[in-house]
Amino acid sequence: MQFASYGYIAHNQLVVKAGGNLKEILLRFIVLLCGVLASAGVCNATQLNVWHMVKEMDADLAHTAAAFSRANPDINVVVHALPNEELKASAIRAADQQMAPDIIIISSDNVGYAGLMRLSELPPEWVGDTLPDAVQQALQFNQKNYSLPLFSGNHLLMLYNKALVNTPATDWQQLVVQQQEFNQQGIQTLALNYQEPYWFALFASLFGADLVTNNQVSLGSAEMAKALQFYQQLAEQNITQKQCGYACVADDFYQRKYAYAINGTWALAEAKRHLGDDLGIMPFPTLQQHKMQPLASYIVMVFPNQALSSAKAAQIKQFVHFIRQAENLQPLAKKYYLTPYYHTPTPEPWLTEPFHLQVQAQNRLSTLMPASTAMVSVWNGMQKGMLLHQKNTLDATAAASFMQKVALRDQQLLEAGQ
Amino acid sequence: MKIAKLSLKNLLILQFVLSATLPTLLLSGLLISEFQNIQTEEQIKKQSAQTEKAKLQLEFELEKFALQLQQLAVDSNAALAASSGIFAHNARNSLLQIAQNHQLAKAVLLVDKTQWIVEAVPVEAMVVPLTPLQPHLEALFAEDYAATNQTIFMSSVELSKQLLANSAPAAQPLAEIIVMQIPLKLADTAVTDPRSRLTGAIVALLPLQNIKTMLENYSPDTTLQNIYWQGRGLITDAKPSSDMMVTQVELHVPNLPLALTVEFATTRAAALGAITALTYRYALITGLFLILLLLAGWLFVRAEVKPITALNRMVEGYADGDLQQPKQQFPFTEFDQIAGVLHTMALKLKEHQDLLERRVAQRTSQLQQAVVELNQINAELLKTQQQLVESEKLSQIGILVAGVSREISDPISQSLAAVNTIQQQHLEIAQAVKHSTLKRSAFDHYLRESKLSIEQLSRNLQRAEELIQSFKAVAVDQSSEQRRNFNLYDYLQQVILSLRYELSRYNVKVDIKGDKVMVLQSYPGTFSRVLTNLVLNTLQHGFDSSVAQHISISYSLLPDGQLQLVYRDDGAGMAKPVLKRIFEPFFTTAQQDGGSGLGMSIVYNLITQQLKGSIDAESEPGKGASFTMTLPVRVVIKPR
Repeated sequence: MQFASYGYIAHNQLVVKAGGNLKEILLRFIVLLCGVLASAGVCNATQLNVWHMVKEMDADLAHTAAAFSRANPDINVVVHALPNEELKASAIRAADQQMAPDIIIISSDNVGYAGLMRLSELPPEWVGDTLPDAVQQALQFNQKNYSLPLFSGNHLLMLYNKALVNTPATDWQQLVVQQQEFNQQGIQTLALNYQEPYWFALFASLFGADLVTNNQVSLGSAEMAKALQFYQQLAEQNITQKQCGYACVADDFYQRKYAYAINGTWALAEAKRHLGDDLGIMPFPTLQQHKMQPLASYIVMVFPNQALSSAKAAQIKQFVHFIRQAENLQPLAKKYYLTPYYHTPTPEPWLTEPFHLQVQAQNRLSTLMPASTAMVSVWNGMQKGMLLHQKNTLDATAAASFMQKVALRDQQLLEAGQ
Repeated sequence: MKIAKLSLKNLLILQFVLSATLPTLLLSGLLISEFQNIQTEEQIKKQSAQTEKAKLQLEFELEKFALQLQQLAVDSNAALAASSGIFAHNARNSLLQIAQNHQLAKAVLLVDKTQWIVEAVPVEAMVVPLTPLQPHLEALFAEDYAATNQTIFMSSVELSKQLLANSAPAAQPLAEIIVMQIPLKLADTAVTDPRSRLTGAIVALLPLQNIKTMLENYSPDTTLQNIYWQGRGLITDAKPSSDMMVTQVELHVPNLPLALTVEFATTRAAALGAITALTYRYALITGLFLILLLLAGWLFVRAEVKPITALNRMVEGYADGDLQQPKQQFPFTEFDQIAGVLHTMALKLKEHQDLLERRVAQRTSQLQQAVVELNQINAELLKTQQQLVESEKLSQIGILVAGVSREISDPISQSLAAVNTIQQQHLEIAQAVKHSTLKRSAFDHYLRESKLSIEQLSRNLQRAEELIQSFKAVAVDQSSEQRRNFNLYDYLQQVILSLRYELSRYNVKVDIKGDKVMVLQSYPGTFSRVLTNLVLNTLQHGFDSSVAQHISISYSLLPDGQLQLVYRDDGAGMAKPVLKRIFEPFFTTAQQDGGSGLGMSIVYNLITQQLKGSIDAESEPGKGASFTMTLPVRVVIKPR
C-alpha cells in the first residue's frame, strides 16, 4: 500500500510508468468498448471509473467495488491503480481533455491540484461540522472542501528487526555505534529510500527546516542545508546507501539484510507478513534532543472534472456512500493499520491492539501536510536539489537555494494555471 | 698478395647450406614482399569498410536518437512539463529512458521558453550554463509554432568541459558540441498550426569528444586521425605521418546542413602486423631448418672429407720421405685411383732418390777434395799476401831508414870534421904547450878555430838532433797505432820532411794548405803511411824527374764535422781502366820497375778500415791525379 504523495514513485520509475500507460490504455479501451456495446444494447450499466494510488490495496478495493456492483447491477465500478506521479499527471491531463475518471483516491496534500484537476466541491452533507485546524488545512483547499477522507495515519515509520536489534537506538549516535556491530555481522544498518524527498523531509524536520511557511515554499534555509549535510554523512558513514531505494526499504529489510528501515504505514501489512513478530516499531532516533516529525496525510476521495455535477453524480454518490460504511472501511483499515474516518465516532475495539497503538502513537507525532499549492510544489525542487548535492554538483547551501528556486517556480506556474 | 687459405670442409658446408637455403630465402623474400603489398591493399579495403561501417553505425545511432527525441517531443508530458512542474516527473522518466538507450548525448535538457531548465538528464546538467546556447534557443523560440528541429555545430570550451567532467579524461578534449534542438508544442490536433503553442524545447548536447570516442569504439582496428568541420581539422594535436594509410568518410548528423569529415588512419606497421608476425615465424622456422641443414651438411661433408684427410696424411707421409708406406684402400673409386697413382709415383721416386743419393755422394766427395785444395791455395795466397805486405812495410821502413841515414850523415860528417879539426888544433896546442912553443898568435888562432869548430859542431849536432827527432816521430807513429792528439799541419810537414830524400830526386814542390792551429785526435801514423804511399805513388808513377812538378795537399773540416783531405799532383795521370783498379791489391803498372801493387791498396785499407773514412780518386791521362779523403775525426782544437 502506498499513501505518500510523492515518495513512492521514484524507485522504479520506468517500469511503473510503462505499466501505468498500459493500464490507462486498457482502461480507455474498456470504456470505449462499453460505450460501443452500450450503443448496441449489450452493455447498458453505468460505469464508474476509480483511479487510486494505493497499489497494495488494489485487490481489496476491486473486491469492494465488485461487491458494490453486485449490490447495484446498474453500476459497474472499475478500479484502477496508478503510481502516484502518473496518477496526478494523468488526472490533470484527463481533466483537461474531458476524459477524467469519476473518482480518484489519493493523499490529501494533492488536493492542492484542485484547480488543475477541476475537482468537484463536496456537498455540505459530506463535510464534518468541526475539524481541528491542522485537519482543516490538510483537507481543505482555499477554504473549500474538495476531498472526502477515508483513512488517516499515512506517514513514515521507523521499523526494526527484533532478531537483529537488541536495543533500538534512541538517537543517531547510538545508531552509529550499532553500525559497527552490524557490519561485523554482515548486516546493513538502515534501509532508507535515499533519493526520495518524502524520506528526506523526515531529516529536514530533524533540523527544524520547514518545507512550507504560510503557503509559500521555504526550502532555501540554513536548516535545510544542515539537513542535506547530515543526510550525506549517513551515506558516507555507510549507515545507509545512496543507491538504497524502495526495494531496499521493503524487500531487503524483509530479507533481514537491514536492521532498521524507514517506510510508510502502507508497508506495515507486508512487513508483518514477512517478519512476523520480529517486526518492531520504534520512535525515530533523536539528534541532540531534536525529534523527527514525519509528514502525514489523509487518504481521500476526490472527484475530478466536476464529476459530482456530471450525469453520473448519483451513481458516484451511491458508491461513496457504500464505501464509507464501516463494514467496508474497517476491514481495510484493520488490514493496513490505518484509522478509518467517519462522520460520527465509531467504536474501534481492534484499535486497542499494541501494534495499532504504536502506529497511532507515531501518528500523533507526525505533521499533517496542508493541501496547498506550496506543499505540492516542494517535491520536484527538493529532489533536484538533493540529487545535485548527492552528486557533489552543488554544496549544501547552493543545493537548498536551488530547491527553493525550482519549487518557487513550480508554485508560481501551478498558481498561474489554477 | 697473401691468399687466405680456405678450409675445404667449411667451403663444402657453406656450399651445402647455401644451395639448400638460398633459393628458399630468395623465394620467401619475394613472396613476403608480395604478401605485404596484398596485405596493404587488403588493409586499405578493410579500413575503408570498417570506417564506413562505423560511420553508418554512428549515423544510425544519431538518427535513432534524433527520432526518439522527436517522439519525446510529441509526448504531451514533455510539452506540458515545459509549462508546469507537475509533468516534470514524467518528462524526466522519458529523458532517462532515452539517455539509457543512447550514450551519444552527455546531457538532454528540457528547456522552457524562458530558457529555464525544467528537467535534465543527468541531473548534473540542471546547472549547465545555457549562455552559449542562448542565441540558438532565442532563434528557435522566435519561430514559435513554426519552429522545426535544428542541429547546431558550436564550440564552447566551458560547456564542453562541464559536459565531459565525469568522462574518462582526454589529453585535449574537443571543445565542439553538436546541439540538437527539438521544439515542444502543444496542439489540440495532430496538425501544427497557429493554434499550437510552443512551450519549450528539448536540447540534446552531444560533445564531439563523445562522438569521437564512439567512432573509435566502432572502428577498433584503426585510429581516428582527425575530424574536419568545413575543412578545418578539429583535433589540433593530430600527428599526420607519411607512413599511414588514410581513409575519410562523411558523417551526416540529422538536421545538420553540412557533414563532418572523419579521417581514419592506420600505420603501415600495424597494418602489416600479420605479415610481420609471419615473417618472424618464418625466420624462426628457417633458423631451425638452417641449424638442421648445418648439422646434416657437417655430417655429409665429414664423410666426404674423411678420405681426403687420409689421402692428405698419405701425401704428407710421402713428403716426409716415407715413400715405402703400403698402398691404402679408400671407399671412393676416385680417391682409390689417386692413391694408386701416388703409390706408384712414390715407388719410382724412391728409385730416383736412391740413384740421386749415390750421385750426390760421389759429387760431394769430389767437391770436398776440391775444397781442401782450394783452402790450401787460399792459405798459400794469404801467406804470400802477408809476406808481400810485410815486404812492403819493410820497404817503407827501409826507405825511412835510408832517408834517415842520408839526412843525418851530412851533419854527422860535418860534426866529425869539426871534431877532427878541434882534435888537430888541440894536439897542436898541446905540443906547443909541451914544447913551450906556444905563441900567443897560435893560441889566438886556436881559440878562433876551435870556436868556429865548436860552433860548426854544435850546429850540425843540433841539425842531426832535429832530424832524428823528426824521423823518430814518424817512425814511432808508423810502428804503433796509438790514438793521440796532433797538429795536422805540423804533422803533415814532418811527413813531407821525412820524404825529403825521395822528393829531392825530383824537381818537386810540395804545398800544404790548411789551418795551422787545428789539433786532431786520431791515428797520426796512419796519416803518415797514407801520405807516404801517396807521395811515393806519385813519384814512382806520375812524375818525371826532368820536369818541375807540383804536389798539393789541402785539408778542411766539412759542415758535418768530417775532415776532407785532398791530395793532388800534376803528374802523368791515369787512364780510366787503371783508375778503376787503382785500389786493387797487387795491381801495378810498374811491375817491371819493381812495383809491388800494394801501395794504393794499403792506402785504401788504412782509410776505410783504420780511419773509417772513404777515398775517391780522380784522374785523366796527362792531367795529374787527385785523391779526396773524407775522414771522421775528433777535433781537439778547432780551426780558426
